[in-house]
Amino acid sequence: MKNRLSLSVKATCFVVLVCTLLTSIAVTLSYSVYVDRMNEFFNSQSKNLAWTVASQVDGDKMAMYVDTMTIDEDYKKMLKLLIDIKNRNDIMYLYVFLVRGTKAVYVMDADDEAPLPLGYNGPMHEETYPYLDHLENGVPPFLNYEDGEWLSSAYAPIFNSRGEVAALVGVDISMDYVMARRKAYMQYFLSIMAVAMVIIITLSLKLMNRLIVSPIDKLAAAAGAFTARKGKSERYDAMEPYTSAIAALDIHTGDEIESLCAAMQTMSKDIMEYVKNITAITAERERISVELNAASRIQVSMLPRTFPPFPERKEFELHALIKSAKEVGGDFYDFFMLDHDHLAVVVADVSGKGMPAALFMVVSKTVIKEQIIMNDRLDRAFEEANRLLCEGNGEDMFVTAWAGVFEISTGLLTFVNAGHNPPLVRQGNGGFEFVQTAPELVLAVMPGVVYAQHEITLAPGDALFLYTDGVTEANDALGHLYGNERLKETLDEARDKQPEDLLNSVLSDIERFADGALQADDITMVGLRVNMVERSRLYEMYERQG
Amino acid sequence: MKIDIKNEDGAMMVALSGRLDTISAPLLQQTFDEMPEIPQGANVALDFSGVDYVSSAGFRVLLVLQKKITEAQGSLTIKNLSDAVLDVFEMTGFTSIFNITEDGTCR
Repeated sequence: MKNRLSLSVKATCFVVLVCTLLTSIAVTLSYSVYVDRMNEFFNSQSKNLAWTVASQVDGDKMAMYVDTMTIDEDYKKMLKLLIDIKNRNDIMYLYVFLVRGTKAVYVMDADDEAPLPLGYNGPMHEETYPYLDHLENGVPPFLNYEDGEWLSSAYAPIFNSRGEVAALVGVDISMDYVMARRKAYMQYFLSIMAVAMVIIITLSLKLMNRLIVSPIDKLAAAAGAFTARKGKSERYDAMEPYTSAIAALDIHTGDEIESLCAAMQTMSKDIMEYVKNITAITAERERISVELNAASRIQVSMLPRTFPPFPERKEFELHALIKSAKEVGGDFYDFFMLDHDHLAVVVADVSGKGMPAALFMVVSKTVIKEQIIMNDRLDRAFEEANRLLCEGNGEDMFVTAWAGVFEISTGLLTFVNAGHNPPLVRQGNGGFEFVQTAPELVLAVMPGVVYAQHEITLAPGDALFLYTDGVTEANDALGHLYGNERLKETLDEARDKQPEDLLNSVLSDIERFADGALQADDITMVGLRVNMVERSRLYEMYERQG
Repeated sequence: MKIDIKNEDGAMMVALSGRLDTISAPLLQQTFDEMPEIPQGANVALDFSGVDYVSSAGFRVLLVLQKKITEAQGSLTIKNLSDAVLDVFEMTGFTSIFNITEDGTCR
């Protein structure tokens, strides 16, 4: 991922911003303090000088000089003193004047070059107006600009012998020097701050870089390499060099970043472990799934799959169908000729699913077939099969089984039901009916169980339908079961069909019912139908033989 | 499948609800496997009033359970079967293997 704004750029911007802000605050503050102090200093100087000079001046003759427009020795002496004070104290202008309204009438002006004449009239500064009624306190210093010069002016009162304010002494101190110093001060201060700022920025960036940015960049680069690689690589061993980029990180900042680095190292190690485990588990799962598929194929291939199974026998039609669920199950069917006149049919369902069920199914199928062949009676065959299956059945598996032996010549069907779903039979012109018999225990649960065998007769045209619970317990998406009633209805609708079509009708109705819901259990069906024509021909044959 | 175990005066009452099938049966077995040894002569009752379906895998677990309890000289009773589930018990002949009662009366 490309960073839009890298951490170091952000850090630089931040530091520069903070430094600039701090510097401008410092400059503003110090400049205003400097200016205040300077003004205060010069103002107090102008005030002090004004008051000092005022104390030296005799106030009694001031008004007279102006009124008569004449001067005397005292006047000259005093002017000389003022000039002396002015020159000694670096004063710009020093003068004595009377206040008439808002006008100043000059009495003396201690200027060497172009003094204002006695009686010269000039306006007072506006700053002085508030003080004109109480001149006994003078006028406090104020800054003013006159003839291109900045001045600090202060006026002090001259009292006459009656204690009245006779005139004012004005002192103007040039502030041009101060104003010039201000600029210089500002430049000086700014340049120092700029240098300091550059040094602070450089140092703090270096420090930030070393402590934060560079460790995080390292972390990000290592993590980036790890994730970029992980996405592409399917095999964990190809990732080793990239995790070692994280493992090789050498960050010792002693703070949260070091903790973060340690956490990342642990996490990447854990991820590697997980990937390894998952790869191993996936491989194992694939292996098991391949084996299960093979088992499922072997299982299905053990069932008779050729239809019609006995093409030379025209007396009956037989069809069987198994639709396996996703997981290997334990359903099976079987049929075989015991002799020329006897057909054995078996439908069974082993408990549970998966490998155990598949294994037990193989054993059950073999044992049941063997016992039916070896015993004359079906009930004895089941009792023996039950005994054998109970032996060494440590896992408490069991199997529900229905087996019948059909005597072709007579149509007699002898059957035993060990806990299996009751089959349906269609006799004569009626519909399919469940063949209900007293329930008997499933095989392989309890040794010594006695089974009873039952008989029904199938006439030409009659049909028998066998199935496992995968049919009646097929469910739709809402968990509703297919059920006995719907099975019977479907069979009745297709009652005249041959076994193969009959079975397919039921299967497609189940699929319609399930409507895409996952098939939970194997669906197994066997259909038997006694043929009309062939059957009668057989009778004739037997009758002829007599 | 919900499994709720209560102990009442030395008798263990296990109330089940939901479907007892391939998926949930191992859970029930695990529940009993994880229990400390079943005490001698324990009376365990399974309340099936909330169970609407029992598959062959479910019966297998019940058989295992019955065996375990019988070995400890105890007794296992299955109570309150719904009609649909009772049909399956009857069809498979398990009614002859298990002690099934309804509302305390023996069937």
